[in-house]
Amino acid sequence: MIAEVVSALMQPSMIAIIIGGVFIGNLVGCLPGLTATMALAVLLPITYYMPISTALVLMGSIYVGAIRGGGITAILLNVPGTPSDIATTFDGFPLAQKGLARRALMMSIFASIMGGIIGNIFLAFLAPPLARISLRLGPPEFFWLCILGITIMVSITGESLGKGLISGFIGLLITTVGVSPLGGETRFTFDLPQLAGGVPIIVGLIGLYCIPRVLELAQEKVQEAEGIIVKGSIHSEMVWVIRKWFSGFQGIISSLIGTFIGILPGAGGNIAGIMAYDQIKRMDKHPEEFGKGRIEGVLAAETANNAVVSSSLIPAFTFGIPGSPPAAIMLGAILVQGLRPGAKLFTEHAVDMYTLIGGFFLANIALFLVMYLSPIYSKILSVPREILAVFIAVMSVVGTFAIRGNFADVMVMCTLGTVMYFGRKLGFPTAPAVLGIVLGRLAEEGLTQSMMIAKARGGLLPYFFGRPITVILIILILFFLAWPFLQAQLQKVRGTK
Amino acid sequence: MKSININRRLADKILSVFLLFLCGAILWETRKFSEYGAYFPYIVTLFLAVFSLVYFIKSWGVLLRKMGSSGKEQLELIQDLSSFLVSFVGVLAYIFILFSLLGFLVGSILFCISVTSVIQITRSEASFKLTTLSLLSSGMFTFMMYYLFRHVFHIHLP
Repeated sequence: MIAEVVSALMQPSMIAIIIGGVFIGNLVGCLPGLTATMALAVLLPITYYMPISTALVLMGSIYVGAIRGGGITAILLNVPGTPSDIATTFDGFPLAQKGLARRALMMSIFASIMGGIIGNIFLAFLAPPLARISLRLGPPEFFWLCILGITIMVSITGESLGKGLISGFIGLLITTVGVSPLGGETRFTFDLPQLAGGVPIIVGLIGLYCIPRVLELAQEKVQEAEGIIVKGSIHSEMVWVIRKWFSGFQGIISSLIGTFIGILPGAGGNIAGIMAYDQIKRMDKHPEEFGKGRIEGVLAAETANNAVVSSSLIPAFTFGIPGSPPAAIMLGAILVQGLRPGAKLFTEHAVDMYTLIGGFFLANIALFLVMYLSPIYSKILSVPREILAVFIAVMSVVGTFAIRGNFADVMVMCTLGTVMYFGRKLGFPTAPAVLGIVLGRLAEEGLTQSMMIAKARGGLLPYFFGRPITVILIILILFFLAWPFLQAQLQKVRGTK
Repeated sequence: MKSININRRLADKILSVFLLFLCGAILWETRKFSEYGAYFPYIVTLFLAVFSLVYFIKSWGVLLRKMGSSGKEQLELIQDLSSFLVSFVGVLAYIFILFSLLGFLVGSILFCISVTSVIQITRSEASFKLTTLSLLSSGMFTFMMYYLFRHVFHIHLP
């Protein structure tokens, strides 16, 4: 198997895909408002026609590049290119204002590389044994896992709990359109034969993520990087940041925080970056200097957010609960290829999975190449937003149409996107709805099979609610539902002290 | 730049009522399904109805008053109305007229150029440099996408 993986990764076409993916991701990530999730969603139809390993490696490379690319605007414009780069702005922009933009950019590259590699090591060694645990799960556990995934994503990300849950359950309901997988009848099609095939995952993901961004981007204006000059030697700054990264334990600690947060379902790079930044700041002898231009701040944030990239796939590929919104799209990619999360992914499709893991490693190494892109960053940042908007619209329409050659899919995509645009404005988060669409079929199979088995055994309650793992999952769901309230109470108690 | 704002509380009130009606309609519809086809939508809708009911109670003020919300908070629904309308109508025209009638190549180039130009004109940003950039980038991008889907993935585009 190792020989097959190495041979697949050493193909010139695969290396070109990795480098191309990292560059595309980096360009998308450095444009404010274009997130890694959106980039993956809009490119999903292209990967649909590729072999599984190539598709996953391309998506993984884009993901790695995009998270790193978000650091560029965080440093040069004080605007995080992706949500994962919020903590990078804290010290990245002050460093740029001091004339150390090049150093901050080089640190963001090297920290991303190291964080990514460490997160990837955990993916390689932790995912296969965890996937074996999934063999013990039956239909009711799969149903409760799907519900747990949505609950955690809503609870941890700090969005409105109620609106997040409504969003997630609407996502689940969208998957019920079309022919019922076990009943066989058509549901919610309004007698339109075009809807009988249901809403494909790709159509849902593109609609929910891309169309709202098209409408938002068309209304935005370019923000210029005024007064920030990127100067200094690329190579000498890179050597300096490499020495700095290895000079203390901040890098390792940030990687471990990023990896841990990545494994937590639903948390994502933004939380990892902020937590690592906060921890490194607390450990420093001069915490008061953070926020005024400390390179350790960039180190912590960028190491942690890239450690999330690989580690967020651990729960996604083992239990079907993605660790971040981009991981939800990656999960969608394996589902549309006909694979299912769990043990079989690391046995029957082991070559594909380990090619992805190897691809992640090479994509992180390829990040070294993007340091030569820094002279064109200012030009990329000044691309008019309306041009980006129409390009995303064209890619969304043609990508959706290409899946089944069906105009009805394009209309469904556009309708979902327009509804989501207004939903976002009213405070309904996108990520839970996307997760609902990704997990809907798995959840339905779990629930309906449970009902059938329970009926045959003559007892619904013991089978659906009484098995040890289902009890644990239900307790976890209740805990995460209560978590925002518990957190508020804890903050109150701390405030009074 | 004209924006459209809406009272947040009013929007929440209307939406919560709509969601409750939607849940009712879906539950009614599930009666027509077979036993195995109805389980999942029925249970998911029941959950959705519970969340919508909580949303309804909150938005109609029972809990909000306790939480001290003023109820006057405005929500920016559309930041720049003209750009929004141009992009929205442009996407619809692209899907229903340009893409399906004129085909991918001509339709996409026309869509890209017309939408970017109209937005730039409404914002008084139009210039020779920007128009040239829009023209060149639209043409290159469309041909690249066409080549990718038609010749690499062998997918027939209209």
